[in-house]
Amino acid sequence: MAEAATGARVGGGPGRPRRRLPRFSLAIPAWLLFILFFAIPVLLIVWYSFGYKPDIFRTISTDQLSFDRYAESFSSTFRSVFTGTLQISIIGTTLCLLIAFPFAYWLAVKVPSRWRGLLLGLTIVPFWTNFLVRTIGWLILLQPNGPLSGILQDVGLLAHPLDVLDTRAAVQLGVVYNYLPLMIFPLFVALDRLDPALREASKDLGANRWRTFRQVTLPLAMPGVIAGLLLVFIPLTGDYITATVLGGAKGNMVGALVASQFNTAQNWALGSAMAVILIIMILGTVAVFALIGLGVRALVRRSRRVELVGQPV
Amino acid sequence: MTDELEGVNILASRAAAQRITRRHFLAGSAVAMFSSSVLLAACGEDTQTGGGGGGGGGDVGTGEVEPQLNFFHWAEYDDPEVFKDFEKEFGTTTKIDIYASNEEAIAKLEASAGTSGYDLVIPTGVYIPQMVALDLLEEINLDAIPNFENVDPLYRDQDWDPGNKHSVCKDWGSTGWIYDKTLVSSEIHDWNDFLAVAEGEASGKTSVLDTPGNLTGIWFWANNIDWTTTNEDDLNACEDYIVNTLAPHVKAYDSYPGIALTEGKYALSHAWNGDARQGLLSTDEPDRYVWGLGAPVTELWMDNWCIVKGAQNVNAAHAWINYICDPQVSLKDLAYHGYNTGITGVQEEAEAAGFEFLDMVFFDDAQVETMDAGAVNEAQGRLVEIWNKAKAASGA
Repeated sequence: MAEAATGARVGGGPGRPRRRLPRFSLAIPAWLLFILFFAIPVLLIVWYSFGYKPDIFRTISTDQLSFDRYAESFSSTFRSVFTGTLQISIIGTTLCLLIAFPFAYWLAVKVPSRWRGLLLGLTIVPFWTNFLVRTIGWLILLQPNGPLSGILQDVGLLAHPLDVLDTRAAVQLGVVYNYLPLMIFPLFVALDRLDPALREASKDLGANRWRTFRQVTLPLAMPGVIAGLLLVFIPLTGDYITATVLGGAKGNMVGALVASQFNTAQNWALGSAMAVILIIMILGTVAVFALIGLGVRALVRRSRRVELVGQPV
Repeated sequence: MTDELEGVNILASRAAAQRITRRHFLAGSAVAMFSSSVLLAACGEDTQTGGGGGGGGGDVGTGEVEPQLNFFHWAEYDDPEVFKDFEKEFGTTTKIDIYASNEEAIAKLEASAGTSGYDLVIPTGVYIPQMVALDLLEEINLDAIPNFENVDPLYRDQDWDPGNKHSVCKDWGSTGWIYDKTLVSSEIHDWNDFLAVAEGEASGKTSVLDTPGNLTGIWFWANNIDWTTTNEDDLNACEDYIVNTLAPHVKAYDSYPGIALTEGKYALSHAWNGDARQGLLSTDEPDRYVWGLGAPVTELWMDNWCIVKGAQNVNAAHAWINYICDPQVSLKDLAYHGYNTGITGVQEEAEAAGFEFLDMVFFDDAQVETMDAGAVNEAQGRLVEIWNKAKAASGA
């Protein structure tokens, strides 16, 4: 029956109106994926965060709901890890921007176009290797009896074996390395799309290099900068692999703390509360910086408008 | 029909593509999805009924050895060669997943309610009563393990598993410390010395074991308190010391620090004897390092082969336990992990074979006198909490 019906419809003449699926059906697979693997788990986490750990061998119970886990998460011991994480992620994101911007600019503007693809490809090469493996690569490199330590001691820069592993500095280094490409790509795309004619026009109108950069290049690259900042800041703040591998006891990050609540302490309620706080912390930080950015932009625009309107022509 | 196909790019011949309409495709996917969910449901049922069938005496575990054996294991705890030999002999592939603490293993088994897919787990003895109470273990059929007679009677029939109904001794060991003489000038004779050095010379270069009981045990033993205490004042004092005093000096919570220490990562490590020994075996200058057994009191732990509730490969699991209790296999495994396997005569064989650092593997009666197996009691939740807070405090 169904076959015949289908056949009839498919074979129907041009005069018959064709039945179409609604347009949003194109997005159904993505929506399903998001709902199943993002929305539901996040809601579960939020739900669990109000629960508690009933006994040593069971992970979660939600028959009594309370905010107690949030109170625990904000205890002084855990609060220090939260502030430490924020420090690492803000410094890390800033460093990524400072390192990636000149590189992306050079790649998009200065490098002959025939080399560009190759160089961009080379920045992707680290992504061919697993994140964990790359981080373990640093672990080997930074070991007290590892290659870097040996070289630094040989050339006399260090009197003792390198002692950077299991410190916050190692984590800082690791996250900058791990997330740098995520900053380079959007910056490169933004800068690559910039019409060179705009810079030339700026020069012709008498702007020096710095002014051209500040008033032409940078504002036009802003979407790339913002995309890069978000792409780096958000996963970096929740990262736990880098902290676990390179940080030891000193370089603890919230992500590692959440993971240890789930995996080792088996306290899913406390882990969930910490995860929710982490999410709020990330959104809050992004919101604060977005507000600052908007404020700065408003100020800049206002100052410029005054200049233009105020000058009698 | 052709207009239906316009704009559709498909990796099929034109003729075949014409036969595939969108509706066919969607119907096909729906069938595929439905049938896979039925399959999944069937699998679920299968594991549950399989779970009910295992355990108990008779001929359990004596049947044909299954082609697969799944371990839920501690890291680096058996010689990879032993696994290979077993695979060759029985035509069974072995797969290992690891856990870092008994708490983790138990919680995962508990959460999966008999469908974990693991066959063997290796809990520390004191955790076994709770695991039995939570119905996480199958009974072991000792008739299927003729080599059980090789297990020294000293290590059979323990308090936590009378009659070896659920477990067979894998090996046992203790806890102490190992330090680098070139970095630590003072000598360490007991836990108080250990803590003094950790706070002093080895501050920021000390590692401690990453389990709640071991971490808090240091303080209890240093202060002559039974490490099974449930006294609130003792627990508070322990938390205060560990979190506020010790934690800031800790470089890492590392359950396997032996090799890392000899690679220069730590100056002082809190370590299990076999792991400390692996460190000494891996270095060219073992004289640089000093091993000490915990004093005045230290831990005695015994890890045991147990069959997981709902295990699918019960015969292979019994075959493995029988295999590993063979004196020659046991000796080979001991050479790798460095813990006393409790097999009769293994000490003499190890001595005859000239294994190094045997004082770190076998302990004399006077030493065993100072060891305390402890217990898992209602303070355990509190110990986990202290351990958690300590880890957070170290990062501050």
